[in-house]
Amino acid sequence: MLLEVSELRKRYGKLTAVDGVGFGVAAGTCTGLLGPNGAGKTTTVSMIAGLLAPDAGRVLIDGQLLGGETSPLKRRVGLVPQDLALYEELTARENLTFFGSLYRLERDALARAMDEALAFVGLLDRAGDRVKTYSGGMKRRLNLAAALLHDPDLLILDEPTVGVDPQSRSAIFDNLEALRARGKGILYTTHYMEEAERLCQRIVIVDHGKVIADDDLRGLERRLPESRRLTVDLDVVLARDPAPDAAAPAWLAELAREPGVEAAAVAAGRLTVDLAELSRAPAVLAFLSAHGQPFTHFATERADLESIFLALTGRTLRDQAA
Amino acid sequence: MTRLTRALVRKDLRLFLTDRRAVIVSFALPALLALFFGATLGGGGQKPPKVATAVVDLDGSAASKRLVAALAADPVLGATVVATADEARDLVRHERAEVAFVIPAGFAGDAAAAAASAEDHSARPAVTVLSDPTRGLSTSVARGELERAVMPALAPDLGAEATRCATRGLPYETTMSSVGSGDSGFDYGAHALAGMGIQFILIGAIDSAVGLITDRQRGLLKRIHAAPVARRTLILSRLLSGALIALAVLAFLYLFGHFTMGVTIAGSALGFGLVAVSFSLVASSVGLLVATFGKTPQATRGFGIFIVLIATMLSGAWFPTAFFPGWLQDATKLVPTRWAVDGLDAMSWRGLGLADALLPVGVLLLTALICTTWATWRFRWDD
Repeated sequence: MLLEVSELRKRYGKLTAVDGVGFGVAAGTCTGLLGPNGAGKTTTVSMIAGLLAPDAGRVLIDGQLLGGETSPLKRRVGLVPQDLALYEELTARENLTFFGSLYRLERDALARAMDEALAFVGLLDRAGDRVKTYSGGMKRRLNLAAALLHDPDLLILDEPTVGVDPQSRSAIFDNLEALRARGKGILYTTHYMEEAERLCQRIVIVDHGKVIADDDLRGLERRLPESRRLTVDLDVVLARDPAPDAAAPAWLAELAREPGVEAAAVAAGRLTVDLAELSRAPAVLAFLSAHGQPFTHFATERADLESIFLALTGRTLRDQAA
Repeated sequence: MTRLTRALVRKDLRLFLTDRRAVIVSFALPALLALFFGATLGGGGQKPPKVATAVVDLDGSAASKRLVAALAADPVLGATVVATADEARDLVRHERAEVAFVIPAGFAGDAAAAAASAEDHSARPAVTVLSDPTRGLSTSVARGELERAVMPALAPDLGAEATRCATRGLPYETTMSSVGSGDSGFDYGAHALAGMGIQFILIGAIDSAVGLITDRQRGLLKRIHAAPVARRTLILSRLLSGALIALAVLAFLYLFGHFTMGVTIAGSALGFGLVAVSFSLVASSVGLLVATFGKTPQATRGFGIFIVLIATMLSGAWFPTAFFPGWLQDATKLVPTRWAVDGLDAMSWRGLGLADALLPVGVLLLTALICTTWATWRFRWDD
């Protein structure tokens, strides 16, 4: 595992911002770190990037413990902060020269790294322009380039597409997918669920400082009953039981006992069946036919990441930043 | 006033009052400046100032001894007796005395001869008044006290001639000698360069502090911190860059002064360089320290300018510290900028040597060390 985080804890006075967080990022994969405001994402990312010392727990980069301001392991990590951390009065090349020198890149190596990074994000032809003349999307791409100069193994991106136009966002996604294909590990925090769905092979959801889910997208989907739900509109005119929701009919109790059926209910002529596996849906439809319950329409639901996220973290507004 | 206007006014007042540092700057700074100028330029009912005075008696006559005793007993002068004119000059040059009187050999005899002369008093003996060129007021006061003391001291030797002097003129004269570089006197240009240079370098240091806070707000410090960079490395680099800019400003100012006002480094060039370097380090470290206290750029700028104006005002940058009341002259020795102005003055128009630069340099370097250590301790990468 390229990045291993275990039992990470951080307190600010009485507030426990991070409470035993643990997860991993493998080389060549992208892990999304999601959570509501104040969930502890930024504190977690800060500890992983070496910006903040944890009160307890460990951050291992390729099996080695990250610790201390000047840890050489920091060279294996590239941070793309949420802020546009660039000197607006300097040119792109001057910015990169400065940020590259922080990693002690020699002149020739730095020049090569700058050209590669600028070409990678499509800014080579604007390298001599002052950053203040750039569009928001260009600044975001340069923000990414600055984190690539020292060729890190692990890239940490903290909401890297805030305020970016669709073209630049797409370009950044292409960049990240190319980096992942090169074997880089990526830790990606975002509030945009569709970004995590597109980019991340694994999703870690944190809330109240704890990891509440750590799985791939399919695994997360399985956690939601909605993602395994079959709804059937019964044909009440043709049905043997003309008022199926007046009282629990006998066939409904029987259906609830069928293998793979977790729950079954009827309301206003619509049957809702929660399944252990969606693959049980044809068997349910066969059951209805066999028990004289004709239907006019049926559908299965697929939960998207946003509904999973809301189901896991709740719909209460979170206004506190952590 | 409409409800809307009242709401807008109330909002502005609330915003103003929430920024406590802005409130302090708005109210305290003008009050302190007024107090400073009032105390410096003289409020009502002040006692006459004390003038630190030295006296040399090269005559050794009874009359000159009476004069020395009178000067020593004078409540304004309280003169200190020294043995030689060079010693007296040295005291004035090093600002240990504001004025020194040199009573020449043969003074009493020559004065008696001049008083008895039926001709004019062209052969009158002269008491040399050595003065610090920045101490015009003190020199005038001291000369007045001297004039009051001389005739009573000579009178017993002159006898009846003393009364004739009232109509025929005094049997002695005073010769003024300004103790500066090459005795050329106070160089306002050189002093202004030191003062204004120090003021604007400090303002530049505050701008640098604001820049550090802005860097923090924009996430630039976070990006630097993500690299293997130690806090002390960042602080030292900012200290050096700030000091280099300050040094360049000072060098430019003195070159400009040289070509436009004829300002020269009449004393030790090495001493001047050491004072300039050590003050540059002080300015840069003060900027760093202010940055560690500041929360927002706006508040930091207001607070920083407040500090700069106070430090500049007390340094004698606006006008020489000789204009200050005695207690304030002593108090300002606690202000590092005073040592910077004095050090630059000493090496430029006062024409002093390297040894006279060492104390200001020591004070300034100690200040820079304290400020840098404090700033390093307080520095935070993040908000």
